[in-house]
Amino acid sequence: MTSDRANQQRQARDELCEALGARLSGQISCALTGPDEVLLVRLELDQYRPAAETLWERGLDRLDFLTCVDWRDHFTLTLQVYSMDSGAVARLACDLPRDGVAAPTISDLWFLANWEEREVHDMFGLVFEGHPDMRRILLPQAWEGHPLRKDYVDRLGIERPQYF
Amino acid sequence: MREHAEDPREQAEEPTLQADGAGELPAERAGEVDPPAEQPGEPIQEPPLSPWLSNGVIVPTKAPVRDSYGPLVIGPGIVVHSVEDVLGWVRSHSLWMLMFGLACCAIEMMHANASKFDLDRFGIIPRGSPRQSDLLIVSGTVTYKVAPMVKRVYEQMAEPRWVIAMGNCATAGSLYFHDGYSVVKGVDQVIPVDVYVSGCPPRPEALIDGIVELRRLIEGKPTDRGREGRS
Repeated sequence: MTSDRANQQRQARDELCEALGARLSGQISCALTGPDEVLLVRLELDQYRPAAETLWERGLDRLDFLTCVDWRDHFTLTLQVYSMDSGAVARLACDLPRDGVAAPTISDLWFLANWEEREVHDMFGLVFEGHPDMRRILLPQAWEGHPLRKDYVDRLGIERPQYF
Repeated sequence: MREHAEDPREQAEEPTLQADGAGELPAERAGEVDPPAEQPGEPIQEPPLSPWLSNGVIVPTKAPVRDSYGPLVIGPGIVVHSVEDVLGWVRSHSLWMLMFGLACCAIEMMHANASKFDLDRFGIIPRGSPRQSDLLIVSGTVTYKVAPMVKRVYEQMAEPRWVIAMGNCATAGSLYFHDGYSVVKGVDQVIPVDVYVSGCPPRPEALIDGIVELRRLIEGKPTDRGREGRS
């Protein structure tokens, strides 16, 4: 059973790679990452929305996570989706500059992405274009700054240890 | 063998005879007891703390302790007592607690309410409304977003009201002190606190110790930590 499931996952993953290559005219880099061999697709920002649409049309209906990483010089917007039918997992990683750029929303595809994008906006200050309700979700609305950015200054001013 | 067997029966009957004639005992035993223990001028020594009582409660200040407490009996059926002390005695025995859980400390608070520790024996009954409750146990992490709600709940309680800060988060911010951008560094920045209970989370024994300390504060008795009550 497990080998059948693994074969099914592998086949669905290869089909995903082909579909993404066909949609984005081959300008993508697919790789397998981690012990589970998750399909990792690195994209440009303008390829993010078409790739997400492709994944949605291929039946990857469950959104595992949508988050962001601050690398001090750029952000990486990361999306992982999962197919309940075939078990295929795909992860999109999209580099974008830290300021002045809005990412396209995918909240019309996966409804869960509505709150996930609000959280990314709350913590990183990234704006999602086309989102129906682009407000903070966790912090108070009058909060200053975005706490998970590396350049965030704590307004309390408590001296904190330097971890890295 | 029979003589030996009869001896413990006779010895066992003696205390019952002594209990019946209890009025005679002080006169008989007055000679046996050491006379210095009954001298009136000697200060009364408090019993030592039990070891498990010493965990948890922080009471920072020390004040002089009054010598004697309690009602003054001036005759048969006539007792003179101050109204404040009577009110404090009554209030301390029916502290109604607001059900207000914020974080994992609330699990320990529920545990203290359950059958093993049974806060009901202290007269503490969890209530669902701040209008009906006297005691607010801030059990858990207070973030800046929830702090206005904590203050509002406190303001909705009728006076007299008391607050216990349960756990390190409500006491001082705990492990969020340096890195927690969203956590209030102690709930006493928002509302006044009577008793602090440390622990992460504190065990139900520590919470009960804090409650006993609060009862002493309400009654105006000296506490285990040497602070005098405010009533």
